Amino acid sequence: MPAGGDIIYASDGTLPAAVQVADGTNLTGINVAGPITGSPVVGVVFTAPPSGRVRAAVTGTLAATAGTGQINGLLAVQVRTGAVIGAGTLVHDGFAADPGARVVFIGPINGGVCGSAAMMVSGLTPGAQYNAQTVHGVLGTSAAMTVYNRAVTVDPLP
Amino acid sequence: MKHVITLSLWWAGAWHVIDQATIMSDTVSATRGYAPDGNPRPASITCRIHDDAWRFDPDNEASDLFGLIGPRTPAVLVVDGTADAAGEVSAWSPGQSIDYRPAAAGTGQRGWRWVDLVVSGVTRRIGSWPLRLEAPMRRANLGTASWAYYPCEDEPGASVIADLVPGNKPASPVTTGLKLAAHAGPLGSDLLPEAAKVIPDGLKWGAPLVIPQPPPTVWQVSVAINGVGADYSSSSRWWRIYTSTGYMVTLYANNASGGYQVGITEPEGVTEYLWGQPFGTDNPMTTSVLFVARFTVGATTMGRFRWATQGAAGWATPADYPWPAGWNIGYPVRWEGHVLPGGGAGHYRFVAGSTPDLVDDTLRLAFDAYGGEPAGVRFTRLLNQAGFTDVGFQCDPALTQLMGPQLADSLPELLKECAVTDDAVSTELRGQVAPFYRTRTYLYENEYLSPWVLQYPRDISPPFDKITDDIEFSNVVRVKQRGGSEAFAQQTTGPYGTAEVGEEQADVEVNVSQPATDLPTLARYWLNRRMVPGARYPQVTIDCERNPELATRAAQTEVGALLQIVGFRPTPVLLRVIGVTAVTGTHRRKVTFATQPFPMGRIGRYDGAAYRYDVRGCTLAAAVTAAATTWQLDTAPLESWTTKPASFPYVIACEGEWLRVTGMTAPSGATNRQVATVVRSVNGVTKAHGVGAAVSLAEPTYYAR
Repeated sequence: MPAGGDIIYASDGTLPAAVQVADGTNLTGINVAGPITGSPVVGVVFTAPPSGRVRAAVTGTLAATAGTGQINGLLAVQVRTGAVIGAGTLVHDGFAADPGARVVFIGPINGGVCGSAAMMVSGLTPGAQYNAQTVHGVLGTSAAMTVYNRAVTVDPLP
Repeated sequence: MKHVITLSLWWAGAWHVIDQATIMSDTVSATRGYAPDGNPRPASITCRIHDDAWRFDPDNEASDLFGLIGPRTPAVLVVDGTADAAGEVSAWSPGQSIDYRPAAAGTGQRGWRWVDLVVSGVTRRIGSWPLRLEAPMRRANLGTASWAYYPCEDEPGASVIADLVPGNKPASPVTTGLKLAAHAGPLGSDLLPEAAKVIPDGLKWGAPLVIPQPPPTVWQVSVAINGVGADYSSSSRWWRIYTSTGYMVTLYANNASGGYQVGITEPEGVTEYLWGQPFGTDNPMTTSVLFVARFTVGATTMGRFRWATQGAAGWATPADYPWPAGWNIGYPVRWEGHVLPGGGAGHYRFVAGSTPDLVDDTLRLAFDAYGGEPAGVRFTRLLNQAGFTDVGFQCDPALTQLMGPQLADSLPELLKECAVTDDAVSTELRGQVAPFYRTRTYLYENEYLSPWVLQYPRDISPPFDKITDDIEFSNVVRVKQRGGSEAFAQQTTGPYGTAEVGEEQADVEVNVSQPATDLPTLARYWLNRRMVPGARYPQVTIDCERNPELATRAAQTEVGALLQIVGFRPTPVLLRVIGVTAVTGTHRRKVTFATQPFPMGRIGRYDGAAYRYDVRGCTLAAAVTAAATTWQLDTAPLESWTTKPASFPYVIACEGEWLRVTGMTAPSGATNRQVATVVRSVNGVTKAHGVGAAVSLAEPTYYAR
C-alpha cells in the first residue's frame, strides 16, 4: 500500500498479466524419484506484482502405464528467482514442500488422475522477475508413470 | 493605497473600536500560525495607542476603564475590513515622551503619552497550563448529577476515599493492605486501589450514603473494574450494596462459567438469588469491565443490568430481570467496595432516579478513554471541556485520523497530540479569540488543489532567500505510539539516503487507534514529509503597495495554504505557508509568509487533467545531445509512458531539463523500450544527457494520506 507523500506511479495498484504455458507431450516411462522437468520444459517467466504475492498453479494428467504394484506419482510447480526458467533460488518447491502446489496420484496400474493444484506464493520482490516450471517424479515403486497435458499458471494477486 | 486599521477591544460586554486616529505607531504588526522554524507559537498583535489620559492603563484609577480592562482583555486587529489576528491583551505598557507636560492654564500640552499593547493568542494561555487533565471517566461521571461518586483515584497517602459529590461523606478503607493509586485500572481511569494480599473476601471498604429526601424510587449504580490477572480463587465479588429494606445487592465477575452476575440476598440473609449471563468472550480475566445496574423501588421491582468491556463497540446483551412478586428492594443506604488481589476497581457511582441514564455512550466512551475517536473530534471535545466553546474548524472533524485512548496528560500536550497525529494545522482564528483547526483533508481538498501561483520577481518582494541546508531533513524516521510500539522508515538510496549522507534521525510521537497497521504507513508518510530534496525558502513577502492586486488574497491566505513560485528557478517551487506576519501602516502593508518546501502538496486527483501517473525506473537507453529530439527510454517491468494521442503533450524531466513529449512508441523488447519525440528545454535548461540518466514526470503527483 502506498503511503501519503509517495509519488503516484502508473503501475501502482495494477497487476501484471497472468501467464500460463501448457504442453500436451506424453512423457512416458517415468520411474525416477525426481524432481525432473521432462522435455519440453513447461515454464513461465513472470514479474512479481506490487503485493509480492502470486498464485502458482500446476495442471496435468498422471497415469500408471507400465510395471507392477502401486504407483505414487507427483506433478508439481517450482518457483525460482530470476528470468531464466529452472535457474535461480527456489522460493516455492511444490514437489517437496508441505503444503505444496502439486497433483498426486497414488494408485494401481492403468489408473490415473487429471488434476490441478495451486498455492499462494508470497514475499516476492515487487517488480522483480521470477520463473515457474513443472516438475514430476515417482516415489518408491516398480511401476512407471506417464505424464501429459502439463500446464503451469501464475496469477498475480493484489 | 490607504489602509484602514482598527483595533477592537472587548470590555463591559461589548466590542469597542480603537480607530486609526488613535493608533499612534507607524505600523501595527500581527502574526499567526507557526514560527519559521516550524514550532507552534501563539498569535500576536503589537501596537501603540495614543492616550494622553492614559485611559488604557488598567492601573490608572482615574480612567473610566479602570476595572474593565486588564490582562486577558480580548482584542482583534482588522485591516481593510479583514481581521489579521485576535487574542487577549497580555501586556499594557503606558509611556510618555520625555518632554510631556499636560495642558495647563495658559499653556498647551507638550509632548505626548501612549499605551503599548501586546496581544497574544489564546494558545499562549492554554499552552502554559501544566495541570494534568482529569481522567475521562472522572470527568464523564462528574458531568451529570450523581447521588454519590467515589472515583477511588485518591493519592497513596490519602486516609479516606473521597466522595466528589459536595456534602457527602468520604469512604474509609476498612481493611489494611489496600494500596491506593496502585492499579492501572481501565483505560479511561487514573490509578485505582489494589489489594496487597489474598484474604477470603478480597479487600473491602465502604461508606454509608447520605439519603436524599425524598428517597429515590429509581436508582442506578455503576462501577469499573480491571480484573486482568486478579486472583479469583477465593471470591468473584466486586461490589456490595445494602438497601433500606434489608436486601443485599452484590455484583460478581466470575472467571468461571458464572460470568457477570447480580446477586440479591433477601432480608433474612439466607438465600441469594443470582441473575446474570456467562461472560462469553468478555472474560473478566482478560479485560476491564464497566458495570451498570438500575433498580426500581416497590412491589413490581425489576432490575436492569449491563456491562461493557474495554474496547467493545457497545454494551453487552441487555439483561432485564423481573424477580419474585412482593420484593421491595428499597434504596441503598450503605456500600462496600471489594478488590480482588491483583485487580483494581473504582468509579463507584450512585444516581438517584433514571436521569441521567447510565446506559448511554457518555460513560462507556469515557471508560474506553475515547479510543477510536477522530483527532478533530477529540481536539474539539477537549477544548469544549476546558471551557472553550468556540473552536474554529475547517472540514468535517470526523474525517481525521482515528486516535488511541486518551492518556493522562495536560491539555496543551493532548491538543498537540491530536494535531500531530492527524498532521493537521492547529492555530488560531484570525477574527475571534479561539483555537482553529484545519484538517489535513481540508487542506487536500481546498488548498493543495489550487495553490496560489506567484510570479518571481513580479509578485514577491525581497528578501526571498534560498537556503540549501539540513534543517527539517531526516532520512530515518521513527513514529512512536504514545506509550506503546513504534515503526521505522528509512531512505537508504539516492543522494539524500543514509548510504550517501549518513543517518539524520527524527522522532514523531502519535497516538493512533490501530498502531499495528497505522504506524508503518505513518512512518513512511513522515519520511516523505522530511525527505524533501533541494532548498528551503524560509519566507515569501508580498508588498501590498507594490502589488495592490495581491492584497486581498494575501489577507485571506491562511496557515496551511500552498504557494507555487514560478520564474525564480527553472522549475516551480511549492511552498506551504506555516505562519503569517502582517505589518501595516497607514500607507504601507507587507504580508510575510513563513514557508517550508512541500512538493508533496501536489496531490493526485483521479482523472484530473493536470495530474498524471509517473513511470518508475525509467532511464535513457542511449546518450542524447543537447539538441536531440528523439529519445530512447527503457522502463521497468509493468511501467510504460502513455502512447494515447489524446494524452499528448506531457512534460517529463531529465537531470533538471524539462521536455515536452509529443509522441511515444509502444514498449517493446525485454527492457520495455519506448521512443519519445520531445521538444527540448521547455524550462530553459539545455544539456546533453548520458546513458542511464533518470527520466521521470516533470511534476509528479503524490498520494494523499
